[in-house]
Amino acid sequence: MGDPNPSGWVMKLLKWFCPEELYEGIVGDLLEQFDEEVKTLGLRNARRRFTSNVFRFMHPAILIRNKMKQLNYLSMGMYKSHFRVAYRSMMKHKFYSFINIFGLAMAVAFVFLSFLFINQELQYDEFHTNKSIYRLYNQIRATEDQKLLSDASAIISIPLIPDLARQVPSITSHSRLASNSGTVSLGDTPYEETLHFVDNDFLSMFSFPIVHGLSNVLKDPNSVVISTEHAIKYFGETDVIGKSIEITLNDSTKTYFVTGVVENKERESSIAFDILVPFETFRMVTSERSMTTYNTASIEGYIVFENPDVTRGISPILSSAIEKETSDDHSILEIGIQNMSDVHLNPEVIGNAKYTDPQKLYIIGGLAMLVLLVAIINYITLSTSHTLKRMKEVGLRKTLGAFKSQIRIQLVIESFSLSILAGAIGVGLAFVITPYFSQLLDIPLSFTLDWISLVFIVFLALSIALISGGIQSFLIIKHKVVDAIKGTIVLRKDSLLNQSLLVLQFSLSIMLIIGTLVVRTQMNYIQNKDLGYDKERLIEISMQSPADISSANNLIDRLRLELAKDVRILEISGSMNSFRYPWTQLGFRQQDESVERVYFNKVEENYVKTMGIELVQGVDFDQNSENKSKILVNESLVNYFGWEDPLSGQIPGKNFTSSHQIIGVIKDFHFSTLHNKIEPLVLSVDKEAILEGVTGLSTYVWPINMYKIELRIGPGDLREIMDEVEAGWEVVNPNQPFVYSFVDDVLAKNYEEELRWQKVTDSASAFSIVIAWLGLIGLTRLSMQKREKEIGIRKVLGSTVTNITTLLSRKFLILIMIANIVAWPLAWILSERWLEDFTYRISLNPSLFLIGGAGVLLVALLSVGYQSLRAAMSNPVDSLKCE
Amino acid sequence: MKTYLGEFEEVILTMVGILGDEAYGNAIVKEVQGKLDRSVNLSAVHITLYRLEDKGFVKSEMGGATASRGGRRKRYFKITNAGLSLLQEMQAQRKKLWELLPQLNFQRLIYG
Repeated sequence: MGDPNPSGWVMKLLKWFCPEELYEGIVGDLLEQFDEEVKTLGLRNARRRFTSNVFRFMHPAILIRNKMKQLNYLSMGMYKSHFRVAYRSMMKHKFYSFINIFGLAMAVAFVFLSFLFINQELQYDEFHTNKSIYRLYNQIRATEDQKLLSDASAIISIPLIPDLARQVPSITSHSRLASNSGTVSLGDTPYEETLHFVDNDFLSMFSFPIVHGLSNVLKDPNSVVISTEHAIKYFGETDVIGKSIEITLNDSTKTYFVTGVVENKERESSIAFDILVPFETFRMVTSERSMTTYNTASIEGYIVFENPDVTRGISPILSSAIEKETSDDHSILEIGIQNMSDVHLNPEVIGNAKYTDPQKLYIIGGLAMLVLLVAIINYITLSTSHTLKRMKEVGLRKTLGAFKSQIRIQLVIESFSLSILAGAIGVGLAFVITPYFSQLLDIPLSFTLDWISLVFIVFLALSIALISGGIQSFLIIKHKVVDAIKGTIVLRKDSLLNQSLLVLQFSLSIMLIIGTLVVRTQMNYIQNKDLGYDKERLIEISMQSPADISSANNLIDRLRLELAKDVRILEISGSMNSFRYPWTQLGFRQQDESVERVYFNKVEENYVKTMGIELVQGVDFDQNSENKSKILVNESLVNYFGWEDPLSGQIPGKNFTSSHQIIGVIKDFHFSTLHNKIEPLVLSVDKEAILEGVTGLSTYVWPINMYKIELRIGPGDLREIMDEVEAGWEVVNPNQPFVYSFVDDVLAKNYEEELRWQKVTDSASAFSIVIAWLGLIGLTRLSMQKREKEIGIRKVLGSTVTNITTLLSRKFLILIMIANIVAWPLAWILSERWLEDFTYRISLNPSLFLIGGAGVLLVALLSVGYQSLRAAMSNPVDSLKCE
Repeated sequence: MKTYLGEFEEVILTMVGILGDEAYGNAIVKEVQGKLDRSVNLSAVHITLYRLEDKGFVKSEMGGATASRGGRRKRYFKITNAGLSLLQEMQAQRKKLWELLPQLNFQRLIYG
């Protein structure tokens, strides 16, 4: 039987995967069977069966047997010994192991926390089981040149959703989502709350767990659904179906019955709500016109398609369905959709839902990687210099017949044990600091060890072990056995790799510190910048849903009268927009059909005075005279329209039928955050003054009304004054809670995001500098130890302590200088990128860079200097005596 | 701790015992085919044999060189004392159970 053979590759495959000691018996049996089958079944069938049999041998029992056998009988003892040696060397060099493990553990903790955060952000809205929920957005596009005239905005007009649902059959359910503040009362206790107005489909579309009640609970106009937290807040329990609460909107109070209690999934949902009422109720707070017009955008809308396939190319269909309502000769309103899973992290569409800039996830991920890099570098530099002390051991192992691979395995096992230990400690550390971290950053973060995070941690520890152990073994194995044993390998003091790693590590730390300083300076600048009005001792009081402007004015007047007797209360005024953004923006259609946009605030006569805004030209509103069709404009508006004589100017617009009078020009003040330039602004007491000219799509955040009272107080004890104000409020408006805030606090809130990120960079740089510093201590200590004899000889020959200290620290300090030079330009570029977001920003000052560099230098100097000093002061007898 | 055998393991172990000095992979496949009229795959037999070896019921050694099989030696398996006593024990247990079974049927036949 010479000729008939099974396919060669199958034989090779078998040989490859089959354990050595089983191979002969298996292949023999297979060949015997093959030979017989060639006779009975023919060559082709026999070959086919042979191949399939070989594949059947690829069975875990055979494949793993290989490894297990080796582990069990051949190298198990060796592995055990590796672990033992690892443990011994760890215990022998406690200081060094501590630095190594603790540095890594800190990095692991930071990386793990970042991972928790990023993972949590990515999980947003994933709990909704229906994956074809979409949020609508709109944008205006010019018909002529197809240019976008507005950003994509998820704030849409009220009739859009029902109209679309009527005309597009593939929309199976839909819900609008509007919000407004209102007063909820139980008995005598009023609560100031934000209500959300939704359609009946809301709870069946989304997967908010319904604790009590059915999903079809908002059918009845008097029904209300509340979150479990609010059920407990109001009633002390969650099973509160059928209980009644009173809700006051726009001065009219109605009784509602709780028909459902749901979990609002606060930490996972970009739609945040506490109280849901039927959408029809929204009529009570908005004008009749806004319920039907396409010109005002004030709500969000969500739709569900019957299946995800129909969403391809749906946008033009949606846009054309409502085209006749929204388009004119020059522009059309384009309707787009975005999947629910996209809402939380998409920077393109602006809306009301909770949103995180995905860039921030990259930044925090990047920071985590930086910290980890610093720690790994630490580990490598420390362990290589340290392992060189163990060259003798390696040399002896080699002499006794150890393969290179075995030494490599030993080193990897050592770093593996270290990194697993560090990983475990790091997770423990993360567990301990999670609450502080989440409090510090004001991010609800929960420490969870689910399988994803476990896999992540194991992966992290493994990669640290492989990277560091690999590099380390590469560095050590290349040395010759003889040199190793003779002990003639002294790591060249200035091994290039070690030095560049050290430079890299310190550059990263310096960059982080400079970044921290830049962020801090900018935040300081923002908080102390002159805003154009006086934010100190200014108080804002919320008026709960006043029925209309005149009742609001009435309330302000009565409060003013009531508080007039207290001289510490200087001015009182009211306004529509306050210190929360964005403000109302109005669009005026021009003769050429383009739209000019200006910001608008409906104010009370006293507004400019109360705010402390400077008047540069003309006069202020006067309480004692008619203010009809009078407006104030800011300097930006004057500059924008290029008026020579602003007092005779008119806001251009083709829809104006009557004229308005610009009575004065106020100095520019920041009515938005410092991210934005000061835009043209109109203030008026008479809301009709310029409203008739509005035609283009304008954004009202709230319906036009007065919402806030501003109060300027003079010197005196704050608490006393506030008690006084509260007492006055009780007299004029006993049915509503007294809700106030200090304007400087409110403003600080606008920069909460930045403050939060300031803390993130703070902690990242703290982590990295501590790790790098630990590394530096370890490294100098090792290098001192290596040069003990040298120092002794130098001292004997007459070197002074100063001489030796300089000699020893010089190398490190030069390296840190180089690190500074590397770090500065990079830090400059990155800081510039971050500052670009701010319209009002600091210019980068070289002193920041010097401070950053000098800080690191100082820390290094202290640790290196101290250790050098200690080495220099040691008695040469101790290091030189040979016992 | 007592070790139990699966049905297939028991068949293979028995076959190793039956074949005595001639028990290797292919022989067992053929024996199962011939005596039990049951078609088994070579890989399944091998895997089971290794498992039995791990449990200590068979032991194996390589035989002498052969002319056929591409010159590959055979791996011969031999039942160990532990394997043999396990088989005996299993047999005894089964017998004990079996003796309970006809008794029931018998009574039924008489009175039922």
